[in-house]
Amino acid sequence: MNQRVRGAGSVVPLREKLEMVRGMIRDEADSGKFHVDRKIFTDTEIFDLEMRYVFEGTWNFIGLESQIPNPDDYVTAHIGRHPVILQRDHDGEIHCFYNTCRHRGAVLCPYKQGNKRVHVCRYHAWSYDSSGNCVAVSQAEDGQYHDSFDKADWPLMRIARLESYRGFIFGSLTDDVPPLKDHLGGAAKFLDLAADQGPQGVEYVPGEVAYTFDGNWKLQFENGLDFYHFAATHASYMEVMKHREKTGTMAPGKTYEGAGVDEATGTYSYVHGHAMMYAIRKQGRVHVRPIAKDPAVLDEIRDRAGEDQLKWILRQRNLTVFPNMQLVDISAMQLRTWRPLSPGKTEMRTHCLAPIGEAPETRALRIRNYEDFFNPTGLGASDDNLMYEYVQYGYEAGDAGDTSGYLRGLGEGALAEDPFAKELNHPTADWKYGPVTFGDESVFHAGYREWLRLIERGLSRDAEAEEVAHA
Amino acid sequence: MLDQKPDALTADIRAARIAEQVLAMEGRFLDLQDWDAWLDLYAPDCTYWVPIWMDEDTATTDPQSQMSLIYHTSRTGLEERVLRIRTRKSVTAMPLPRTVHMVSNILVVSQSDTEIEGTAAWNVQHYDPRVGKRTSNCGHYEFTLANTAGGWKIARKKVILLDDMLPAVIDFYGL
Ligand code: FES
Ligand SMILES: [Fe+2]
Repeated sequence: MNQRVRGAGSVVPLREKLEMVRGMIRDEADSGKFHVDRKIFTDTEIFDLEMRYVFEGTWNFIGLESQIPNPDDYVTAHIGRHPVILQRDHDGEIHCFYNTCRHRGAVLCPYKQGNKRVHVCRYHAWSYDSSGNCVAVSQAEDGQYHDSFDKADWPLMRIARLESYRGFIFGSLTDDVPPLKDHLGGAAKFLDLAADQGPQGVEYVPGEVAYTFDGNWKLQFENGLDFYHFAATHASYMEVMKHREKTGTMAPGKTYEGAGVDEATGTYSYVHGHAMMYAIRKQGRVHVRPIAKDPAVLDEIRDRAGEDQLKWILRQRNLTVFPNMQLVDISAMQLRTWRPLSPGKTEMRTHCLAPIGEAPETRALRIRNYEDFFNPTGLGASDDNLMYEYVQYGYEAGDAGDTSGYLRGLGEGALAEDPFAKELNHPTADWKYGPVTFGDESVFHAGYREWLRLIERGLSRDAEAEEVAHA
Repeated sequence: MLDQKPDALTADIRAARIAEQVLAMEGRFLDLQDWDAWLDLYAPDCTYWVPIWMDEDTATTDPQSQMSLIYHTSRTGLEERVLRIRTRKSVTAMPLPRTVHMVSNILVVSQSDTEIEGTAAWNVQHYDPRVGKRTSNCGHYEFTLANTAGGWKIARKKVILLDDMLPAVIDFYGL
């Protein structure tokens, strides 16, 4: 269907396509309805639009400053379909280049990470320094280049925008994005709650766990904000927990909450598709948090960041920074990014995030907690991963009509005012609050609204450009 | 290299045979999903470790400061994994894949009356009836066997998985 759209020839199809995409998200939240078409999980045309206008049309998380602490350190990554190198230069400044040689396109650096003052391309040995300058064209003198040829005209290509917030580095392939701080909006608060856990910020525990699942990336996006699935999907994990309590192999749960605070879950939604959910637990499965292992660590955080900040550090928080990053803080902290490979396949890159300079025993506890739940080998995340595959399988029933998975939380709330607006210094956030069994689903809406905004914007512009070209 | 003196040779052959037997039994029990028999091959204070790749060439070496996929310092961790799939509440085990474990290239590195240490290569064919697909995992084992009152048991097993781009689920029965 709609083959014409891909070519340059016709103006109408881009407009048609715009209408088609608009029909995919039916946003009538005010009257209790919000529907997402099943096809956005399976359709290859939609996938192409997502890559081009969502992933390549906004800020993406690409790495941590602490991953490249020294001059000439680098890591490689992807933004949308594009391979990039995140490189600290010899003077300490951070750059992000497309990871492709200016001579004839070979990937310049095929390694995951390392330290290089000069990258030499393997194909014909052109060389680039860590600031991206082309410093050598092999056998240039004998190459009978035209007089106008100058290697200075062939530096590595920089991505359009690169900014860092509290050590979290974001890049954009398009210039048309707000400053990072504005882009993050209220979600920045929850990056603070990670960064504030150590006086020198946070780092990755060495060792990345990468995996794929046979499902659409938006299934991970949704799951990372979905408190509703926990009791069912993680029932086997809960059984293991019960067994540990019974046999005394697990320390009893501990709450950090004051007597006046109720158990609750809630969500916040922000501009540009970001959102977060939190849980406040006082009994049952309350994690013994690594950060709380040593009371002196809590005191240090309280002194440096304040009581409210500490309180929220100790609460369970799942943050989504749209479109490609989630930061989960439960019994350990996980930072995960995804790269869509096709409508039905997604690559995940995941790390255990930890305060820099953490005591060795605390670090070891954090790692064990992390391995227990996360990873394809973990007792929790493996069930999530497989559920994405089962959902993808189900969504192949493309004609089966609307799903109703975005409706919880659209009715009247339990409270008239956000009880945490003051603590979080968060006056304008869009919030939901309820009991532990609330399972808000309106928290997904912000992401889908941004998804639609970015695709609409990209398609409208391209349609206009085509119309001008054909006028 | 094998020591050529007859007594030493006999001891080496015996150790290699024991190692081969224990590893083959382990694979067989996993393939039969006879979890109790499988657990019984492990010493209660065993170490079961699956490190991950730090970079293109090196796996993690220190489970206290680096990530691993699995790091259990007693059989309890393995027992919990069995308990989890027995609850019939984990989608990872509904259904379980069918497996064939193959262990080869078994080399005894050191042996005594009480302990055998060695390495091996492994391959697990893994058929998932859920999607009708066969996949495989493979890698290296490093192991220590201990001679106990109940026979030779696995006291330490390190499973080095060849891949660093993993499937969505991987558990003890696929390693
Ligand atoms: S492609 Fe890099 S030097 Fe030719
Ligand atoms: Fe989950």
